Amino acid sequence: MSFEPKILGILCNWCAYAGGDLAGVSRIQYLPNIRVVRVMCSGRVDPEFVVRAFLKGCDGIWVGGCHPADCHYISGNREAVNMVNLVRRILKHLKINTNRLILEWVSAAEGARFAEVINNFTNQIRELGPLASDAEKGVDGLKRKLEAALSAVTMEKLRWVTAKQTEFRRDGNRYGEVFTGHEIGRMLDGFIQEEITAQEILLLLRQEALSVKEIAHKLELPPPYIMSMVYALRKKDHLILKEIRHSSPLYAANNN
Amino acid sequence: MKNSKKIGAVMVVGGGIAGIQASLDLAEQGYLVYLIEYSPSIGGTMGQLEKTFPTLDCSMCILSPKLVEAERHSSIKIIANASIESVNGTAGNFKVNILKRPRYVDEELCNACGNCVDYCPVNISDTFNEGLAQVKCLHIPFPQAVPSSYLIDPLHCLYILKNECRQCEQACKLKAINLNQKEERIELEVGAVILTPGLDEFNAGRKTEYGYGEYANVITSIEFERIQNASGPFQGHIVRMSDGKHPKKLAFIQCVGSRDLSSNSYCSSVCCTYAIKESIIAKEHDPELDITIFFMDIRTQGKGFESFFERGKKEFGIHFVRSRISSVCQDPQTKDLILNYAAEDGSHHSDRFDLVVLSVGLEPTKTAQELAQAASIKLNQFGFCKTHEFMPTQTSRDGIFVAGAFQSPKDIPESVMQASGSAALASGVLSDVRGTLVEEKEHVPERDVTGEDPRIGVFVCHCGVNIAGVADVSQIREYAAGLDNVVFAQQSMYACSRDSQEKIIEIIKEHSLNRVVVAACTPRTHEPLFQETIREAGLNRCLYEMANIRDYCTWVHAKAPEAATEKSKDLVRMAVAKARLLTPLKEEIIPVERRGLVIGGGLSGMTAALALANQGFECVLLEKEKELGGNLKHLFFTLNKNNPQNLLAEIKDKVLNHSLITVCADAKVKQVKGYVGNFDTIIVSEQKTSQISHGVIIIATGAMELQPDEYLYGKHEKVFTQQKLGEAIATGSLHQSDFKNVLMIQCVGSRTPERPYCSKICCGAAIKNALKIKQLNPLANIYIFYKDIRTYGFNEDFYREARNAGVVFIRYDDMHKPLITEESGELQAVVFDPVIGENILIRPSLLALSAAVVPGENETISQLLKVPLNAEGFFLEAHAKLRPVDFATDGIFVCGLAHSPKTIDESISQALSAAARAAIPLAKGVVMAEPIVSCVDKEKCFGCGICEYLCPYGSIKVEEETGTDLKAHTITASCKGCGVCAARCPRMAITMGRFTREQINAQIDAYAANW
Repeated sequence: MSFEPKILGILCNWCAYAGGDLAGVSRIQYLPNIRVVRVMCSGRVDPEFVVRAFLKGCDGIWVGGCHPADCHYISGNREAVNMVNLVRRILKHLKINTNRLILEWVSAAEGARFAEVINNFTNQIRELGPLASDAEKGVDGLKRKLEAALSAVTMEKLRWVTAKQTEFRRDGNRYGEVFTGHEIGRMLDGFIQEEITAQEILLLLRQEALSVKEIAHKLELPPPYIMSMVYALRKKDHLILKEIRHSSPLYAANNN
Repeated sequence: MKNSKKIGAVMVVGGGIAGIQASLDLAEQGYLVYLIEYSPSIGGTMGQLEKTFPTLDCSMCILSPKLVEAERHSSIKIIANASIESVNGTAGNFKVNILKRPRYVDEELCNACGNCVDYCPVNISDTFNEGLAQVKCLHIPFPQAVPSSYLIDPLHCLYILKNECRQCEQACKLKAINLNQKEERIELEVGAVILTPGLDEFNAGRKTEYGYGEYANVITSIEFERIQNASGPFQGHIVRMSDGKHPKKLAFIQCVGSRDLSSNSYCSSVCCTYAIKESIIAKEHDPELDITIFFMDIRTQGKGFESFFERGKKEFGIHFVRSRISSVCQDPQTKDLILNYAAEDGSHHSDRFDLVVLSVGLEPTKTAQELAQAASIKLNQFGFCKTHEFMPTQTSRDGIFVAGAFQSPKDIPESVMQASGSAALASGVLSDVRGTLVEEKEHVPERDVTGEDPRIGVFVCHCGVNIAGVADVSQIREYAAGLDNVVFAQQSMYACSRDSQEKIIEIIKEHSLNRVVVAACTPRTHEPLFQETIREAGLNRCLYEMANIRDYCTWVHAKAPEAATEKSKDLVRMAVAKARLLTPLKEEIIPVERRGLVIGGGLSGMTAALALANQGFECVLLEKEKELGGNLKHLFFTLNKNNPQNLLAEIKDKVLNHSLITVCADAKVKQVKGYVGNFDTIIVSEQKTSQISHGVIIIATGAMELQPDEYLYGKHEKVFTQQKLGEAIATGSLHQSDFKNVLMIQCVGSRTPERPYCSKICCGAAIKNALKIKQLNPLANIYIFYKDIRTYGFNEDFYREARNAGVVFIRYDDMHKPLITEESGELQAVVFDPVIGENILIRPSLLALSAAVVPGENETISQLLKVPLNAEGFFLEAHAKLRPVDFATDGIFVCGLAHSPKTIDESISQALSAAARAAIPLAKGVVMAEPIVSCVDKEKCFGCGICEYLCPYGSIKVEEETGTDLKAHTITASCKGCGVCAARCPRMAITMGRFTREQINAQIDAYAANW
C-alpha cells in the first residue's frame, strides 16, 4: 500500500479554521489526509501539542492562524511564530525533517488558499515519507527522543525561554539588552540539547539502572558530557545512586 | 410626548455595516431592534469589498462575525427583502408600516443546505459579484448571507413567469420552498428610527467619455473589488474582460461621478484611498504590474491614510499623475485603452493601458427618495439626508436619526462611529423604557453532572445529501456507538431542524446523557444553536462538542467517499475524546459600577458626557482647565457658516445643569486602577484629592494646534495660524489693510517626515478664513499654497466657491517651499509657481499658516490607563474599521481629537459613538465573561509575570496576595480566551475553559497511529 500521510492541523477559530469552512462552502476539493483540531488562537498552540502529535505518529503538522497583523487577538499569531521556532529547533535536534511542521496563515476569505496549503503540505509529506523514515537509528530510539522532548517542553526551562522571546527581542532583558533572533536561537538550541538529553537519561534510567558509560553508549554521546548531566540531575534529586557494580556506580531515576 | 407611551424598541433601516453596528449597540443596551434590509441579506457594500484600507484587513472576515452576531442576537429581529412604507407618530412612539417582498423560500425552514440549487434550471446575473458571474435563479446572495436562507428571483423563475418547472419544490426535503408566497405588510411600533440605507456607486455609464459599457476593459472600482476577491468571479485573478488575459498595465481614473458639475459636485471622500488600496492589493498579487492613478488631489485625509498613500508610492511603486482625464479611447484591434493627458508640467502624453478602472463616486442609495418620503425627512441638495453640522446624526424629524453614507459619503469607520452615535441618541430618547421589550429567557435548572461517568450521545447529521450523499452516515453512527462512553448514537436528516432539536432534548433526558457530540457542520455557525438545545435539556452549555464532517469533510472530499467516511470517523472519535473531558463551566457575572468618567471637557468630552447622562447614567466630567470648552473656545465660524460659540454656550449650559453630570474642572487624573465595570480613579485638583469609582472611561483629551517654528511664526506680528487668524477676524482685531495680500501656506507641520499624517481640518480652515476675508474685503488678494486640497465630502462646494471668488490656489511641494523673509518690517514671500515654472515675489500683508493638529497630553493618559498610542501620538483604537472608539482593553473608549484630527461634526459623531459603546456595560449592569477564559492554578504559579507581559488585553495580572508570594490572576471581565498565557506559562499553571491542555491532548491522542 502506498504511503498515506497522517496530517494534523491545529487551526485558529477566526482565520484558518474559517478559511477551511469557506473551502467547504465553496466545495474546493483537497486531499483527505488532514484532521483538524480547532483552538481559539494560534497563540494557544502549546509546543506540547505539536511534539505530542509527532510522538503519536503524525507525519506532518500544520499550525494555522491569521495573517500577521490580522490576529483576532491582536498578537497571538506572533506567539505561534515563537512556538514554531522552538519546535522546529527541537525537530532539528532529533534529526526529524523540520519541514514536517509548517506555520501557514490563511484568512477567513481564503478558501482556495486553505485547500492549496493542505494539498501542497500533503504532497510534501508524501515525498518526505513516513515520520519513521526520519529515524536513522530505529523507530524506538526516535520515539524515546520524542518522549524526552515532550517532557522537556512541559518543563520550566524551555518554556521560559520560549515565552521570553517576545520580551527579549522587543524590550530586552532586565538589563535592557535586546536580543537578535539569532541570539535567541542559539540560546534555545543550547537549552534544547541540555533538556532533552536530561530527559532521555531519565527515561533510560526509569527502565534500568545504568552506569555513565552505558548511558553514553546508548545515547551516543561523550561520557564526560553525560557525567556532567548525571551530576546535575543528581543534584536536583532526579536520580539516585542505585548500586556500585564492578567499581562503577549505577544510577536510577528517582521515582519519589 | 407625555401623552403617548414610549416604546422600548428601535427600528434600523438598512443592514449595511452602519445598520448592523447601530442594531448591535442598541440590542446590547436592552432595546428591541428591528433591522429592516431592502435586499435579501444584510451586509451591504462592505461585504463586497476585497479588503479594507489602510490595514488591508479582509473585509468579509471582519464583517461576517458581525453578521452572525446580528442574526443570533435575541433582541434583533432581521426583516430582509423589505422596505418601510410609512412612519407615523412622534419620537418615542412611532408606527411603521413595512412591506416585505416574497422570497419564495421560508426563511424559518430553510437551513441553507443548498440541495435545491442543482434543480434550478435558470441562470441569472450575480448582483453580489456586480454581474461578473452567474448564479441560479434560486440562490443565496453570498455564502455568508444573513438570513442564511435561499431565495428565488421572481423576475426569472420559470414557475412565477410561466407556470412551469417547480423542480426545486421537490428537491427541498424541508418543504421550505413556497412558490406561492405573497408580499406581506407588517406594522411595527418603535420608539425611534435610525436610517442607514447606505450608498450606491455612481453609474459609470453616465460618463460616456470613459467608454464604460462600451469598452470591455473599462471597469469600475467596485467590479475590480470583486475581481480581486478570492471568492469572486475569477478566484482573485486579475483578468481583462475582453480576452481573459492578465493585464500588465493598469490605470485608475479618479473622481468619476465626483467633483464634477456634470454629475456630482461633491467629493466622495473614499475613492482616493480605495484606489490606492486596490492598487496595493493588485501589486501584492503581481509586483510587475504597472499601475498609474490619475487624480486631481489625493485625498487621504483619514487616520493612517497618508502613510498608506506613501507606502503605495514608495513601497509599491504606484505612479500618481495629477491630471483630469477627459476621455478614454479604445484600440479596436487589441482592445487596449489609450489615455491622452497633460501632466502637471504641461507636457502631453498618450499612454496605452490594458485595463482602466474608474474610481466611481458614492451616491445616496436609489431608494433614498422613497425612504425620505416614507419617513417624512428632508434630503439635501445632493439627495443625501439633510443634517446640521452640529447635529450630524439627527434628521429633520424628531426621533429619526441617520448614520453612514446616507448622511454624506464616508468610509467604514466614520459610518460605524455615526451608527453608534445615532444609537446613543435613540437610546437618549428611550432610556426610561430600556429593557421593557426584551425578555430574558427563562432556563430550566442545570443538572449537576459532577461525579457522573461520561455518558455521551452522538448525533450524526445527513444534512440532506450534503453529508449523506458522500459519506456513509450509518457506518459513522455505528462506529460512534462503539466508542467508549458513548451510550447513544443516532442519525438525523437535519440535526439543526426544529423537530430534531426537540428530539435531542428528549433523548438527553431519556438516556441521562451528560455530554453531547454533534457530527454535522461547523461549530462557527452551529455551535450556539446546539448549545442552546442541550441547555434546554438541563445540561451546561459547555458539555457540547462538534465534529465538522461537512465543511471539513464531505464537501471537500466529494469524490472520495471512502476516505470521507474514514475521516468522519476520525473526527467523531477526536470529538468524543474531547467530550469525555468536558466539564460544566459557569458564565462569570461581574457587577458594574454604573457611572462613567469622561476625561477632557472640550466639545467631544462634553458631548460624550451629555449623551451618557441623557441615556440615564451618572457621569463625572474632568477638565484640566478652569473652563469647559477646549478648542471650541477659539472657533468663531465654520465653513458651513455656523457659529461654534452658540454650540459651546448651549452644550456648556446643558452639561452644567444636568443633574447626572458632575463637572470637575481644573483637575487631573492621578491614578487609575481596576477593569471594566470596576474602575477606581484618583482625581487631584488644587483644592483636593478625591476618589471615584466608575464602570467605564471615555478619553476625550483633545489635541492642539501646532505652534510652528518656521515661516517667521512668533517673530512677525502678521504671521498667524489659521485658528488664531479666525479668532482675530472674529474679534475684529485686524484692519482692512491687513487683508490686502493674504498668503496662506497649507501643511505646515503636517505631511512632513517629522509628522507624516494629514491634519485633515486645515484645508477647510484655510478656505473658511479665505471666504470670510473675501466677504469682508472683496478686493483682497488671497493666495493659498497647498499640496493637495482636501475638502472632502460636501465641503468641495466651498473650495469651488473660493475659486470662484478669486482665491488663487498654487501647488507647492517640499522641494519648493515658500521662502518667507522680513524686509524692513514687511513680510516678503518668494514662491514657486509650477504653472509658469518660475519664482514669484509676493509681499503679503498677512500670512496664515495651516498648522498641524498635534496630540496633547495623550502620553500621560496612555500610561495611566495602559492603552496604546500610535506612532503619531494619537490613541490607537482596538480596530481601525469596526471598533473605532474602543480599545483592546474593555471599558475604555476614545473620541475626538485625541483619536485623530477631525472636524466638529466628526468629533460630535465620535463622541456620541463613545457614549453609546460605554453605555452598554452601564446599561447591562453586569459584565458577562464567556466561559473560555483563563484560570490560574495558584499552587503552580510562581508569579514570573510572563502571562501579564504577553496578555494583549491586560487581563491577567501578577499581584502580591495577602501574606503570600506573587501570583497571577485572571481578570475574567476582560479576558477574551485566546490562550496565549496558557501556552506560554513556564509552569503550565494556566488552563483555558473549553480548550484545556488535557482536552486538546486527548484529541491528538485520539488521532494517534501505530508507528
